[in-house]
Amino acid sequence: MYHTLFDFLTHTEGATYILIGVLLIGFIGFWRFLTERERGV
Amino acid sequence: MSTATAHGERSGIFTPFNLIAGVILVGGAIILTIRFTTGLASTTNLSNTNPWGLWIGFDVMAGVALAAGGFVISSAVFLFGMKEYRPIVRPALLTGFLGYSLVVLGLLADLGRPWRLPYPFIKQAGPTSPLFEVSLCVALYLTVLFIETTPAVFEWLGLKIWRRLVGQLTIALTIFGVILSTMHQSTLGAMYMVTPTKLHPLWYSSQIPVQFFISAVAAGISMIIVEGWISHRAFHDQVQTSNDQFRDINFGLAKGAAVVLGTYFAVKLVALSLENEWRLLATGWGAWYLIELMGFVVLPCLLFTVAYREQRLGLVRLAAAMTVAGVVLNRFNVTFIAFNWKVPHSMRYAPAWTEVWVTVSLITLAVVVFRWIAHRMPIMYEHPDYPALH
Repeated sequence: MYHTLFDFLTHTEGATYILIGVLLIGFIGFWRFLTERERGV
Repeated sequence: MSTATAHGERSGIFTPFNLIAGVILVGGAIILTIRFTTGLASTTNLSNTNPWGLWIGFDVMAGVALAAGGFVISSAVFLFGMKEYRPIVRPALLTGFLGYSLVVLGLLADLGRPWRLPYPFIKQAGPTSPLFEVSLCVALYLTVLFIETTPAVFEWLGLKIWRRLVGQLTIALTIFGVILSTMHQSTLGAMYMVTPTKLHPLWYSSQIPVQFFISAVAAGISMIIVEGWISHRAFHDQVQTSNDQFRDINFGLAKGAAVVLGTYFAVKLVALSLENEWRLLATGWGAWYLIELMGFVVLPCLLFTVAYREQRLGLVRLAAAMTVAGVVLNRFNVTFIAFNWKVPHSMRYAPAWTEVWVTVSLITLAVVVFRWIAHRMPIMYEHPDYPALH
């Protein structure tokens, strides 16, 4: 439960930063999977 | 009676395609005549509660997104030097030009009083309004697409000086087209930022302009794949690219579409996180949202990825068709399905059959015009007199 806008933003933006980090790391895996054939693996 | 085409092909006027298209177009013309003489109420289910329906949702919102292939491919070829996509530049630009023409026709059907079309520019400009930005950009970009399409017309008519002149404008027009497309594709989404109480929170987001732009790029690439699939069969006698070259182009587009759809999915997740709307995914609307997101974004993204890895052309086409359907579904959701989601069921909007008929008529009109042009002008092939200019 959020009591102030500051509480809400601290929680949502904190969670979003973590999510973006996971997505960026996930994109590396996605790119490697996508281009595996080009690299001849 | 018969008509001659550029390749000496002769076909009768009363073919099944022409007869069906003729019936659809005549029906559409009758409905539009009723609409322009008696008003929206007699031909649509629109109301003050639901002022935007199928004509805006499909003809404008989805139409603009599906026509994005023109700026995507022309910028890839002329700005980023991806010359391998050159054979599909003209079909993509023609599809874009016809798509934007239909956007204007669909908008006119919805707005009425077509003589007031130039009012935003000459009489009552509202430069702070997203609608003004959209109307200005669409008008300018339609002009850009028209000029970008004219080289084929000049080659067909043998106007060499004019052909050389517009050829020199290619880079400038491409840059202008990219700027205008980026602006109005995102601003179409920005228009919904004034509707936080009407659009369902799962679709409403401060990121909606970014979502509209990225999804339009995916729709544009997918539409080129679908259009190339159909026209490769319909105009097989004109196509100069080899089967291997055509396959490589499709796999290249599939790789791009996979990355764009992956990015779009990430942006959607970030929007959900920023608005903290995760709990709504467990509701009925959440199920509908997940069908759109998982079924028409994540699934085609994975299909594109697998298709590119395993070089499966059929899978590329399936993924492209799903992406096109997904972007149309997204625009329907934003425009009228998830819009006014709180109003009683009896007040909710469902398109009248006349609205559907007019939309089908506009699509048919685009197909007929595309077919007419492609049978006569050098769209699918390189004109032998202008090899250096292609």
